[in-house]
Amino acid sequence: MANHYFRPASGSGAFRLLALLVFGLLAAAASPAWGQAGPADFSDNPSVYIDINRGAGGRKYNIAITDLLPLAAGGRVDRNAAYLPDRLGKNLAMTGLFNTIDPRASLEPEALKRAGLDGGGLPDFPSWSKIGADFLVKGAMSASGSRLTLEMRLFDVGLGRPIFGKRYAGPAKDARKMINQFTNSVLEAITGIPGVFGSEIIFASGDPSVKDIMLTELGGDDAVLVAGHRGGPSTQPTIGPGGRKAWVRRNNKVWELVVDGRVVSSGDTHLSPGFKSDGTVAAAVSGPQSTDIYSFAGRNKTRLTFAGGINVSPSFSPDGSRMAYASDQGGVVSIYVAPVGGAGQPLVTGGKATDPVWSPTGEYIAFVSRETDVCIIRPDGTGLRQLTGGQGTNQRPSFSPDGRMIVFSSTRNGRAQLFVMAANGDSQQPLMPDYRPPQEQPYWSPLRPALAY
Amino acid sequence: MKKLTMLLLTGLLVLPLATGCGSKKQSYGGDSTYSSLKSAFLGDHVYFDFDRYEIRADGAAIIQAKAAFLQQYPNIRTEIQGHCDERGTEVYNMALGDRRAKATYNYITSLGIAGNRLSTVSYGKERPLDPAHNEAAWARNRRAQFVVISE
Repeated sequence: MANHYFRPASGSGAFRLLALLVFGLLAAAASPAWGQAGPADFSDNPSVYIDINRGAGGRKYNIAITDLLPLAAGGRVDRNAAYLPDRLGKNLAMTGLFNTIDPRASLEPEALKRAGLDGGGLPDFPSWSKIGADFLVKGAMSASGSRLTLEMRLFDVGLGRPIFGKRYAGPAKDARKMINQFTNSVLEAITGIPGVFGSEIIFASGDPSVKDIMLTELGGDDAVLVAGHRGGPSTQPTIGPGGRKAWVRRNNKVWELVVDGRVVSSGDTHLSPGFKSDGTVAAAVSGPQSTDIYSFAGRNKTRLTFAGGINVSPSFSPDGSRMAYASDQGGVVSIYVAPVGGAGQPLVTGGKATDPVWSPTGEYIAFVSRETDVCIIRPDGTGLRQLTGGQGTNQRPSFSPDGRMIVFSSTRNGRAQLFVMAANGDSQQPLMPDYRPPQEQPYWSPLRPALAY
Repeated sequence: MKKLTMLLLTGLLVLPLATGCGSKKQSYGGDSTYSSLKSAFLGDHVYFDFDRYEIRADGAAIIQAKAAFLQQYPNIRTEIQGHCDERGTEVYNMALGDRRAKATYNYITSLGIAGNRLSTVSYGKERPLDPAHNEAAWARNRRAQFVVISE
């Protein structure tokens, strides 16, 4: 089997064959320790299989994930035996780096189904490489009362080696947390950078006049209520430092600004709050003559835009020095970037553009072009790329905390749904395919997921 | 206050005679001229160009008619709602609807209608008049609409 992982290094991608081999040996040598809690340490020997910066068109890696077997031979499993591998496969496919392949196609002999599970022995790798698998995940579980124990192992089929194994034990209701965390570890082992499954995504859900603020996560398949009220819709939620949340709501006739669950400003029409990295909240306020962006501190507010007309959707660069926003000061609404507290407001995009948002590295601003498509551009106006096209309207993009994915809303399936895609536009798919209520106005929390296990 | 009570009583007395719409609070309810003027006030909207919130000439004429109505019936308080068509992002449409309502407010107050009889609200693209997805529907939905709050 060719070592197809090791493409010639190009650009910023690094392929560390030697490190991988050394690591593989270490992992094999460390196998007796499997079954212990605690993450494997990759800091000294990152094994980077995939250049995550490669453009669209790179080959995806095939991963086979078997259903979970009983931890002890003859033990019981429950619905998690199928659900968790399915969730893991969906997670990995969502990154745009993997295809999942059907493990039932494998000819692995029945007697070897448990091979590799207990840290002793190895799976029958030829059975897996014959069906095109580059990687293999095997797992086992035990459910007793409300407790779940999960042991998951990742194998490199091409090299015929185990990569790592992890054990999770906790309340059964944390099953999804466990598999999301395992997803992050798989991504770290294969790409050198952990994933952000389990990171929070806030959004507005419901019919136009009764929208509530909801919270889900990457790797989630349902959502929980954050806030709603009877006076009208709540919408345009955002998350800032420390997980603080802000949104606007229409209280009968007045659009109010809500921060940390409390109304902090009312009276005029408030729109599109955004947090600065220092925790300051900015929002648009529609006054008698113009709609301008203000920074709020307690009861005081400071005006940030002065060109007149409509100025909305503030998004601050990660270092807090610049603000991107949408303004119609040039006649058609476009994206501008202003130094915070400085002069000059250069236009970044031409043509109609709204909903700007910075990437966590500050390298890109994502926005909506001509009401329908998500694009990215550098803050200096270069590097424009359209990421969606020809499928419904696609709005309010927001980057994952690692900058590798974008969440947005799309109507391409005939209803308002949250979609995710790789930051280069690959692998566009619904975040929660089975969640029925209308979903709009997503915003991805800047916080990486908490490590629960 | 006395005058208001009188008006209210008159309204209640003639209510059974009123033919069309009417609620118990309608102080002008028995006035057939009022009824027809009111339905024009509620039914004639101020329309806007795509992505614009400047008052057009046809909109100015409609606002002038509304100002005349409000001058004739000084007890009426009204809300000006700003609306958009379905195209465009939520935030921008809410701002656009708000500017349409406020442009209308600014125009009608410049004609002498007191600001304390008026309020504005933006519904963005939340409440289209015409649910169709075509240019004719969009043109009908880009509007400032007057609603009577009290009379």
